[in-house]
Amino acid sequence: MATFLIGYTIIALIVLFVIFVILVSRRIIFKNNAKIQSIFAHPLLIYSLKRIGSALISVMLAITATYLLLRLKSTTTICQGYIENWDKLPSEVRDQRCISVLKDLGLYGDSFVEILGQIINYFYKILPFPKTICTQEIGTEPIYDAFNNLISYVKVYDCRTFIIDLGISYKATGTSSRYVIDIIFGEKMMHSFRIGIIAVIIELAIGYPLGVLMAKHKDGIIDKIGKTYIISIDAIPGVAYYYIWQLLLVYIIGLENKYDPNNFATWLAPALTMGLTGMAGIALWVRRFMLDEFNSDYVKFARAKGISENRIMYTHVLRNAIVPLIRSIPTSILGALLGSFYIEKIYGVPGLGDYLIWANDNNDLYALQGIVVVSALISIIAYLAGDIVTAMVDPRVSLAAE
Amino acid sequence: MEKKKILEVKNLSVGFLSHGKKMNVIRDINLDVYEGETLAIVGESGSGKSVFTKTFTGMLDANGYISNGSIMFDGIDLATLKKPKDWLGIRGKRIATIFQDPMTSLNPLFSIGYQISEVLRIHHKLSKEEAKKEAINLLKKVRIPDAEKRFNDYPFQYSGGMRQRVVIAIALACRPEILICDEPTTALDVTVQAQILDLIKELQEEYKWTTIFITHDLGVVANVADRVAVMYGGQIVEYGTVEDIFYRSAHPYTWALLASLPQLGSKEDPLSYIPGNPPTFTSEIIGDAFAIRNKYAMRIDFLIEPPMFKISETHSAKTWLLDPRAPKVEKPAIIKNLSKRIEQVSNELKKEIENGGEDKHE
Repeated sequence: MATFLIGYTIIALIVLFVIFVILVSRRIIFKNNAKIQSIFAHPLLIYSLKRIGSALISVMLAITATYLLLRLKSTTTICQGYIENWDKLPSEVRDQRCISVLKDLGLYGDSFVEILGQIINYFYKILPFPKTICTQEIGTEPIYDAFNNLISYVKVYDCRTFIIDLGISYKATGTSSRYVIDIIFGEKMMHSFRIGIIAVIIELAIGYPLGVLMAKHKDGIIDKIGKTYIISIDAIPGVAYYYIWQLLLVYIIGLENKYDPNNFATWLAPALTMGLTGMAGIALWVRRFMLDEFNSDYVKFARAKGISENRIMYTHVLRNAIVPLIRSIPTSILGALLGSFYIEKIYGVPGLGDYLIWANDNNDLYALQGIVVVSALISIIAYLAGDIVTAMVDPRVSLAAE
Repeated sequence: MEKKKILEVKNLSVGFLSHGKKMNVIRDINLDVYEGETLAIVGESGSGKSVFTKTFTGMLDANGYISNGSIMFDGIDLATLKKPKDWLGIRGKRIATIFQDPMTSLNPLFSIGYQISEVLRIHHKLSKEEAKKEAINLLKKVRIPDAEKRFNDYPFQYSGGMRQRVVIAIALACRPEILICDEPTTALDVTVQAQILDLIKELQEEYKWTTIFITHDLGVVANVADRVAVMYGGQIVEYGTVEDIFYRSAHPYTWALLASLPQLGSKEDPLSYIPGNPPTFTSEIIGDAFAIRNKYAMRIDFLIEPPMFKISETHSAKTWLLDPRAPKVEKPAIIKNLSKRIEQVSNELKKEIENGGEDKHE
């Protein structure tokens, strides 16, 4: 009950807030109150709401597209995966069970109306309204009448109330819950994020200084080594250098190969593989933008002002060079939540990337859809954050609609 | 009256290394700059004006170097300063430069106030508050309206003319002894140009600095300069007071420059111009660099470089025409009655400035 109350309150507040902002920004209410105008009609807020609004439409399109693509999978293959002893069952039983499996997965029916109904049903599930869902029968409970006589038994289900429901993973094994939302946020994402965030820190902590040094000593020894490194990373296909890193980190340096959630030392190999690869791109762009800025007139003028080379470099040039790059920082931090399926496969990390492949192989459709929805939402937030950060560091960027 | 020399350039040569080739871009320049005067350096694009003045602040490009000569400034030979550290007390502080394009001279990401205070904090070691106060004063000095409010604005919120004012304010911040103006008005439209020139002149009177004005606009020269040096092919080919250059010029290149002033052209005749291109420095220049474009050239011009002939105390020119053995030649007709025309032009310019001066808020 409490979940319902909290859920509806939050939704009501969000809706009211959005309506309030619209009314204020259109100057329908609080027309002359400068303080309220400056808070609720702030360009940043309006811009964010607009972006989220339009992004939600993109999410809906993404969901529809994924759903339609999933429908292309052969129903027999899906059922085969879900029904035990498929080969031994007579065909009528097969068909019957298959229909119930497809109904569970929300895939039953081929007519336009049925498909549309299933898509709308999924939208309803992910709309942030509190709803109760049950996974499986966990037993029976006796029912008594007023005189304490046993009347009958009712089935008891494992039920929970969610605000957003991503469906049930019918094939989940080795997870503590069968609710997709629990699996993604409670288990898988944690593993991915752990590796990803270490990788992002490595990426930024090495990539930026390296790019700056390369630009500062252009054609010097650091620049040459850095360029060689960047070119080799760029030239070798991704899968290949992940294995090269594994060879280097695990078999030569001696880091742990198999990921173990309880042992920090085992997180290093996947994180380094990811970070040292991502760093190349960052260093390349930092170097490039720094060099671009070096030749600009304001650097010449700053020099003529008598400012030291180091100050020009670290205050004037770096700030300008970072502006086009800063947008990508929220993306990479939030992207760390989603993980990389190659690296997770190589090092056996049970993260989101790994889960995606597993879900696809096992036709676990709600899991697959759930990952798509979560990735889409994270991307929206990341891009929005990128825009806001850019607007914060660059005074020329204004988020106002005008 | 003996004026004090503030800058003494002797036998200055500047070379550039490009693709393993040496190019002598500044060739043996001798020039004195006197305290408090405004010296204009004029010449076509590629004549070496900018490179020449860049040596005063050690701002040659990485492949450029001073191959010979000295630049004496207050007992220091600027030509011997190599490391950026050596320049710290001089560049920006005692010799300031303002550049051609105010649109790009300011860092787009820092507020105007920050960029002015930065100089004050570095050179005068002012605190943040003191620097802010002084910066607002400077903004007022260069007539930025609402200086306190505009202190926190960014360059993109300023117009071109206002940005050049800010650039001047920055140059002003250190009370420089020499201000090098590298075509400061080229990128601005004519009315704003007049205002900026006016402002520089006014501030110069107040702060008593020496201005070195690089320009290819002889109209500007007539308006601001005390003395003029004409550059061609990396050399100074003629120098003298404004009157010397405009009324008594002796070098065919100066004649050609004056003749191609668009303001002097009459409506009926086509505009006069100098045929050909300035020398490229890729091969060694033999004789007079201007000879191939010079209709007064004699055979000797192609063989031997002319020396600097002294015409009067203030006026010298580097042309064989001044040799006693040279035939007498007539100046081009268009610049013969120059004094009258110049008067007309400068009157018009003054009018323009007056008109421009009324409209301070561009």
